[in-house]
Amino acid sequence: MEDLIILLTSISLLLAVAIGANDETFAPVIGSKRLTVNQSVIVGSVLLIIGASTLGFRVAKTVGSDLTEATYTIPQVLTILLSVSFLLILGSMKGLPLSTTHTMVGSTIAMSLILGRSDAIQMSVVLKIISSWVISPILGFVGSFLLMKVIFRIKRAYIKGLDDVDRLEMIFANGLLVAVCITAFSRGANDVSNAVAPLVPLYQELAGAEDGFLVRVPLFLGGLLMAVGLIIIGRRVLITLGNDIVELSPTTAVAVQLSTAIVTTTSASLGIPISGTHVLVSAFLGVAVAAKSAINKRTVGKIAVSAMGTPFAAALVTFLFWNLALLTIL
Amino acid sequence: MNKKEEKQKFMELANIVSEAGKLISEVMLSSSPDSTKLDKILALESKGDELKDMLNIHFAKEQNTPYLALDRAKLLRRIDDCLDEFARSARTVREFSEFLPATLMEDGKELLSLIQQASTDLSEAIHVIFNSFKDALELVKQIENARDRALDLGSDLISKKFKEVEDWKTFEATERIVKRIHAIMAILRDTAEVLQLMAYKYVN
Repeated sequence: MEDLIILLTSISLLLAVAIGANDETFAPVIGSKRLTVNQSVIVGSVLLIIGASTLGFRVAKTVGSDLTEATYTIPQVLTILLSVSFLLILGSMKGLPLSTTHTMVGSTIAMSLILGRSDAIQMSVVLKIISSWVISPILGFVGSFLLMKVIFRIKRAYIKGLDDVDRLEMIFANGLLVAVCITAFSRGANDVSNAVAPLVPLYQELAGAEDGFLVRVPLFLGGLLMAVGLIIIGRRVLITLGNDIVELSPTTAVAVQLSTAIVTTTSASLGIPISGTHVLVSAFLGVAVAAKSAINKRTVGKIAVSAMGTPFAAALVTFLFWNLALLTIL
Repeated sequence: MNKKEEKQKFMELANIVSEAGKLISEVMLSSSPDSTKLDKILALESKGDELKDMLNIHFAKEQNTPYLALDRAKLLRRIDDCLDEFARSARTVREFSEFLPATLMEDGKELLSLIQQASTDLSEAIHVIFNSFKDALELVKQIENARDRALDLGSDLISKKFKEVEDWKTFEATERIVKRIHAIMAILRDTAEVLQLMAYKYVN
């Protein structure tokens, strides 16, 4: 039994590395040259681990044990983890922006349905999560839109010459750093559940308690491995994204990041798993609309469709993998 | 290099533009230009290159917000182009001044004053943009007007000399010098345009 838990934990932690490798949180800070890449991945790693180990428990518990009363066996947990990993890899290969959170939640609920335990699914929790998936991007959009309007007013009132521009951008660059750190902390809390949520009930059973040191071990390790993913692989993603957003001034970036930070931290505090990426994209849209910039509607449509379709795709993959497992192994 | 030092370097470049502009306006149409002034223009261009290199390293390697650094790097390139044009013109004057008609300085007096005025305005615009975008835009407008006027005056001067002068070398030398004046005014205006675009980002 312990050997299987170690195997499951190892697979979870590999998933954590992949999640950390795709963490784009510090891209605006690198793009605005407020921090170097090395500084960013170190600070980001520390915050990921802290977020994962502290607030991460609330989110992981929601997905891992509150979402469904069904107790999954180790093969079932393994199926969920492999389904999530497979879908994410497939999505990456096809260039589709899939949400890890949507995938994990979809897969977890699907397993209950596959086992004929629809009665075990906590509909109030499901409805709370689904409504947050709709509300969080809207809040991200509205928040960044309003912040951008305020920033425009400040700029119009305050800026007379280049000296004022430099002063204001420095203030906002520091503000951006604070907002990004808050986001990194809350992303750690949110994203760790995508890797280790299915393990939480198993560790609770091992510990014989709902919370405690042993129960937090996978969260801490998940945070640590996300940090490893960020440091080793994620830096390349950050450099690419940072260069792509080179035209983003600190004043604009802070509107995006502050809105994202508020939404993701609030969600993590409430234990609600959301897609940090979707909130960030919505926040970018809010800024674009406030600045009356052109929006690539095709890309936005693609993201919206993938957001809605991902849980169903995850359910389908989980169904296929479980049946494959039943046929071949079990 | 911090922001204060960066600004200081731009101020030095602006002063060089003003000084070089004044010197070139004193020798441009002269049939016997002061050789020390021509040497001074070339020395100013070298000094400008040193400052440009320092600022380029600062923009490329140090932690600057790209959004802001890109504009300033563009301005730096244009200022360098101005100084290069002054140096090129000084060399042209050195080569062709002996063939210029003696009356050319008098005939082209207004043209020369436009070079000096536009150089001074550009220098002042670079100084003033740090405190006031609106004042910088006023100066940019003056430079544009000066460029337009210089084009007209230069074309008129060439036409006049074409009719008056019989020796082809004299005409050729005059035309080359006037074309250099046009090139100077064009690059001064292009540099001013960079300041204009920087200001438009923040001025309604």
